[in-house]
Amino acid sequence: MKHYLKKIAAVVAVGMLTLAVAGCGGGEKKDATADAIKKKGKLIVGTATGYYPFEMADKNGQLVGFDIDVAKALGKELGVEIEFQNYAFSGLIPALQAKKVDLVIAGMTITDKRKEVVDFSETYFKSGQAMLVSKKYPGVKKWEDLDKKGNVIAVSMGTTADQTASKMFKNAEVKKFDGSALAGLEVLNGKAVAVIHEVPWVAIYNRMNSEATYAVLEPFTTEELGIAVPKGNAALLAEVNKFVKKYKASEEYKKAYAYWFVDMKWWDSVPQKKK
Amino acid sequence: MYQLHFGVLAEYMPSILDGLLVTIKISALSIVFGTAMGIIGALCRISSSWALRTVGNIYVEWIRNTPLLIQILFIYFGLGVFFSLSPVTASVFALAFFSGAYITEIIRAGIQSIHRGQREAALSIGMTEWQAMRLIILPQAIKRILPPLAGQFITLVKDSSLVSVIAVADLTYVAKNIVTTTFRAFEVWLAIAAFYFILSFGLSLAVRKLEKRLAESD
Repeated sequence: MKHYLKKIAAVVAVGMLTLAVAGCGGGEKKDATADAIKKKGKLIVGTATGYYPFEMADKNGQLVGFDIDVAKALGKELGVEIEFQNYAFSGLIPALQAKKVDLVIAGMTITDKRKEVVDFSETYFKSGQAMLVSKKYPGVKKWEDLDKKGNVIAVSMGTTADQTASKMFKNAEVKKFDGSALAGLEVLNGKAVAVIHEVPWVAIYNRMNSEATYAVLEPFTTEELGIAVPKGNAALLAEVNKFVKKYKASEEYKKAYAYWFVDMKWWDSVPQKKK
Repeated sequence: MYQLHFGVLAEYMPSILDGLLVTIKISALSIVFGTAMGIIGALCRISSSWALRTVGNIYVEWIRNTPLLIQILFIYFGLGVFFSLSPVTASVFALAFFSGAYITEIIRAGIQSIHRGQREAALSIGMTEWQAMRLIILPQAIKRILPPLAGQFITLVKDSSLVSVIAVADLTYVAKNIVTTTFRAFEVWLAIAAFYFILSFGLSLAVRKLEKRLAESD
């Protein structure tokens, strides 16, 4: 048995060393600057579908949503093509770190924790956390009503809702799913009392499933959403910030905002439960 | 560039170990129930009854030709509409059902690989069907069954990482969670891979030992 252990230790040590060296070598690659992206003619945008109405798939499987419009407008501004890559939300920052995507537009809240590893643009949208509650548990008005022993709160792993809930809820159990759609199912199946998520998502999910859920839309936190870029890429960040400033003042922004959050004309073009 | 900080692992070691325990528990239960399913499945597949053979066939083909992830999601969220299975129960159920189908085939193939002359000889010296199986066929078949069975168990330990999608706090779930709070993807996934390696390799060593012991009886 002993010689086995020695062998294993040697194999693991060599493996770790190889990987560590490989990890260091990656740093020599130059950061993709805005110029490089323009040269490439393509911007790879990471996003995570299922987050209504920021990013979702329509009935033809096409990506649509507020963030998708933002990304397309950015592409137009920079004069490059946009290619979307869809990840689980929790995989977005690792994808950015590994340079699999050039930037992330996915309704991502600007937090100090995330700022340690990626850079954020100026705020492009203001939001807050709300509650989608199962009708099995009537009378929930504020988040403290949910924080009871035995209650299960479902969230999408790695989202601000996850971080908020994991911090704020001391008695309830916070269960984390890959994506808000699965977290929502947990409430529909009556296994969780509520989903914590951002206001627009809660409003829409509730509208889709009004027979099983009710929404508490008054946000109990406020958040600012930003576009995430790899750390230390000042040139790209500057370009993105220039765009955000211009875009927020534009007619296009007002139109997109009204379309996705006010009129909800997109409602019939995405798959949803029909009564 | 990405700076390596393995210190984060020490900080989160208690929760990693909790996850490890959950992975071990789910894998162990699934191995036990999966093997039971496999024995029942194999008995069906080699049965002389047409109905049992058909049931066995449908079970094996249905499970082998659909992805495990879909089976897990179906059992938890799909059947969840009708039955309230806890995430751990649903996981063990899915994994046992899944590996059971493969174990069915491993056992069936092992038994059928023993030359039929052996059974005929046993019957001709007056053994019953059951005695022939227990005393003549199984002792030989088991040696052929063990290596692929070990492979199946190792696969099961690794496949158990899929249950993290239904929020079972196993090793993978804990790791994903740590990555989302620390963003130390490289260090965490490397460590988690090492834990899975230790589990799987340990299992394979144990089976190798068992094989050796059985070989001594030859």
